[in-house]
Amino acid sequence: MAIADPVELQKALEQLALKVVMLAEDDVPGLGSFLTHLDSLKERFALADSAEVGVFLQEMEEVGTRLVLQEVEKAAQAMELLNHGVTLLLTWVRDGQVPREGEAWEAYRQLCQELGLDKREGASATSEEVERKELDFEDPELVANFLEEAREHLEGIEANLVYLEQHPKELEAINAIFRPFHTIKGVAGFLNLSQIQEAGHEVESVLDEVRSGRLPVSQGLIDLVLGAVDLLKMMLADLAEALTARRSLSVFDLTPLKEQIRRLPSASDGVPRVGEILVEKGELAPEELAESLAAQKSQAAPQPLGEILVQGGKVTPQKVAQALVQQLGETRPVAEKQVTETVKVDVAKVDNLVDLMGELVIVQSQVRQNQKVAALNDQRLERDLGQMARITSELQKISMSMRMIPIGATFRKMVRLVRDLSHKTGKLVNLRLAGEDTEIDRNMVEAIYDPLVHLVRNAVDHGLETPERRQARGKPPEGQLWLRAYHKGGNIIIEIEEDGQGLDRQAILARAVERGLVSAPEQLTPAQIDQLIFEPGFSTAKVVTEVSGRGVGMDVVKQTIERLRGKIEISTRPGEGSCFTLRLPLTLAIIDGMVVKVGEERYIMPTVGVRETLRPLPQDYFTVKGEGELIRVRDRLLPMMRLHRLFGIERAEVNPTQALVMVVEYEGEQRALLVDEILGKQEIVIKSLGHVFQRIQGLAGGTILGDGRVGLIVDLAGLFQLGRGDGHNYTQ
Amino acid sequence: MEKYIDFGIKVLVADDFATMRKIVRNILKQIGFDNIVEAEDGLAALQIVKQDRIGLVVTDWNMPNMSGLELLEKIRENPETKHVPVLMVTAEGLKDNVIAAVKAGVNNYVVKPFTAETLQEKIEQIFKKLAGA
Amino acid sequence: MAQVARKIEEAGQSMQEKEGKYLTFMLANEDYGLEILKVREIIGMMEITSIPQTPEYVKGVINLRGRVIPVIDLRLKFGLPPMEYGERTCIIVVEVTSDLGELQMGVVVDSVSEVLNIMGADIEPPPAFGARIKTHYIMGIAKAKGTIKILLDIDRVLTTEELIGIEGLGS
Repeated sequence: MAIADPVELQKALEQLALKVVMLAEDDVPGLGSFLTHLDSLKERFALADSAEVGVFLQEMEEVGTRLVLQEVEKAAQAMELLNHGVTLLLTWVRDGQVPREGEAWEAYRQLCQELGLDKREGASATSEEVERKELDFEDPELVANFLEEAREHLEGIEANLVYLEQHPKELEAINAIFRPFHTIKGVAGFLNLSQIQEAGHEVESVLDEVRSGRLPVSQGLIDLVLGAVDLLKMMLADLAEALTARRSLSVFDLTPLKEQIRRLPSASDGVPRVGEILVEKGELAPEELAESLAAQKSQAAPQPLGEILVQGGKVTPQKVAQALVQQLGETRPVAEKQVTETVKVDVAKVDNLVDLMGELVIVQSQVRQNQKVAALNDQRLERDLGQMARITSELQKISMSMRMIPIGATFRKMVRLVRDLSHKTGKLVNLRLAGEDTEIDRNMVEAIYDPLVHLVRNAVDHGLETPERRQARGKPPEGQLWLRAYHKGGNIIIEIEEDGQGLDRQAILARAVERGLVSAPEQLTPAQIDQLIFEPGFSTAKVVTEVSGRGVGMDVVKQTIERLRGKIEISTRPGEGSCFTLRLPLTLAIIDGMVVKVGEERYIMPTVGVRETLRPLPQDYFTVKGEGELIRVRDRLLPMMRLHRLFGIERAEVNPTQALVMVVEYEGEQRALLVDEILGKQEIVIKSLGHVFQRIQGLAGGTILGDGRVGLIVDLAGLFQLGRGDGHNYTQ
Repeated sequence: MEKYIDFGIKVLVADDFATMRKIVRNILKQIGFDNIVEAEDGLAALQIVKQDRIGLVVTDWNMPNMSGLELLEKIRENPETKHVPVLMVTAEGLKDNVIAAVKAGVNNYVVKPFTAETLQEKIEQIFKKLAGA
Repeated sequence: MAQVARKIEEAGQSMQEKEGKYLTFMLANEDYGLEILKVREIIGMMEITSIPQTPEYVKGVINLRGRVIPVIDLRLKFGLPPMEYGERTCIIVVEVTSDLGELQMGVVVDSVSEVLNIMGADIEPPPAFGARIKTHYIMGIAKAKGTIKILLDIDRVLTTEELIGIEGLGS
């Protein structure tokens, strides 16, 4: 057989020989260099396929690898084997063939046998456990640190899992989930937390299989990892308790987890061998296959099975070819759930784009509305501006859609929740999801998670009855719980409906009176009674269950929804069930606002809250001792709020008859707001003021005005709150 | 054995888990090293190796932004840093990782969880070999 | 004795770590320095929109290329007498690390001087007492170009807890 570039090859082999001679047993870098050299030999000279020496190289690589992994008991012999192997290779280069006799050959083969290289199994046959000595890291501070970090890492996993569900091939997502388990396992080992270590190890192995493509990302896998996260959370909680109570750790049963792992579908299961395919198709009898396989095994340089079969006259070449094609088809990667190609983009970039798009829409409309432009009365210009408007609008929709994600992922998280709740409360719940593909702004998805959880918990805990009670009422024992989402009129509507017992208005009323929330209970309409559940500190549960908490929920839910500029409504029928409806705007970022001037500052009132504006006459202005100032608007008296006072603005107009009064409304209440001037009405792109100013009452955000200044957007809810404390509050 | 190790050298510990870094730091202190700096991912570690005089790098395999393997490769690529000894911390059972690291030129590796004795042994092996013994 | 010597040595070592480039600026005739790595940009005075219910030294927010960022007046923060903004008054935009992540903020200073490379050997630890501003804010005292520059730990100066711990009016 001709050797390509024999001079170079000889040199390379001599170098290899040198490396082998210099090798010591524990010489990790030396072994590394040796292995790398072997690799390059194989590559450069295409020796891997060489009938003559391919096997040698493979065997030597195997030995080298085992030495590195410290899996060889007889290290000295392994070194010898390498020595002999290299000698044989040098002979081959010189003479053109490997001498299958003589001292070197004999010694080599002998050593191969001793080291168990003749068996075609991999190194796993001799993998030994690294001896674990007793570790002594009971430092409580370390454990506390570990707990904290571990918890943090676990939190990140759920979000990543949701992402992974939608993008099953995302290596980065898989890695992001793999890492925490790997790390937790590692540290747990140091801290003698063997159960945590074991659990971590199990999941880590599974995820490693996923990383290397041997295991597909399936629903079963996601559930498994979620379950493992729960398990670990429990173990960590137990550890925390054990630490403070100074007791020993509880024992956790890991068998369910292991069972789940075993039951996972594996990717390699799906890829059949050529021989198997042929047998399946009836082209080959099983005994013939066995025969040929045995023949293959006994060959020194094994031929592909197909060749053997054809040579033996068992099948025609065409059949073999067909089988190979089929095999190829099945090894093609399983298609992702979504066939669409995706690009990974920094969220910050998308947000920036959406912001700018918003500004573009506004500026573009201002240009169109510009009087001087209109006065030009140019048809061509009109047409072009119209075109520009259309394109801008289209662009904006697309950029907004980049931030939208289907709400399905959030809904699916509820599935597990409901399952758990159903168990805990002993109630049977049939959860039905609708509109999972409905899209919602990604910034909102996180924000509505907690409210949704609370509403679902409420539905199962308070809404639905136990199977017995249901049957007593003539209802089927299984309760129905619907989670629906759909778009309507520029909003996304989310409904949480159950067919339980409905709100107990009597109990609510009683509780409200008890809490001093109402003074005249008889005068409340049913709808008003229902609304009482949103009052802070309200809960009709006589026993605060672990499930739904301390009744701090509903008011927070309402606040959260409203902070997103949404609304929450309830509709209930005693004995039949309740339905909570969340209405959230699709576009978070743009609102219609009236720009007002107060002193030197510019504020924006959301148009949606403004009823009318007027300049009051002296006779419409009243002051009442102890009540503050009032303005008469037609036949009503409204409390007046001085914006300049509430916000500490200097040089504002203080005389109501010289200023303007803006009637604003929030939640049915109206106020007369004193401002200097109204500068105009326009669409506003809301910009967050940042964490620093989050707690400021009365401000919803900021915006960049036409002159480049920052205008502050008023939050009516907060403003009213501020005003309640007012009366004689001077900021000056 | 100690004649091979200079305990005054600066040791870089890279791992994204703070608790882990603490543990390794404690062990290193037990062995006798007390000039230790930390990095929480490969990128930061690489910067430190480039800018500082590091006598030994003890790095975890799995880190965000740049893995231990990549870090090793980058250290070896750069003529100014290629001689810095690197010790890779791996988890049990991930053999492909070990082989990859060894081929990339790691000086030694240690499997988690390890004792102070084991770590010392591994570090001694590194410096003994470097000393030409 | 050895302990004291060790402490001095330790302090010296940690001062060594402070070595680097600093942006120097003036406040009430004193020189201060900020790590250049934390400085994003320097802009001239511009219209600041004031935010209600914030301390005196929180001047408000500005529009920085479409982003709304808060602005602090360092004179007021340090309890120095306020000064009318003049030609040389600038806003230094810094990026500080807080527990809420990286935040950008602007600080108003009398004037900006230059970027200096300060050697570790020229930095002394902050005095235990007697400095005009809280020692907590000072990273060290540097001697450079013949004058003393007070090196600020800007992360500490602009901690968000102080800035947001404001009770609203009337609540």
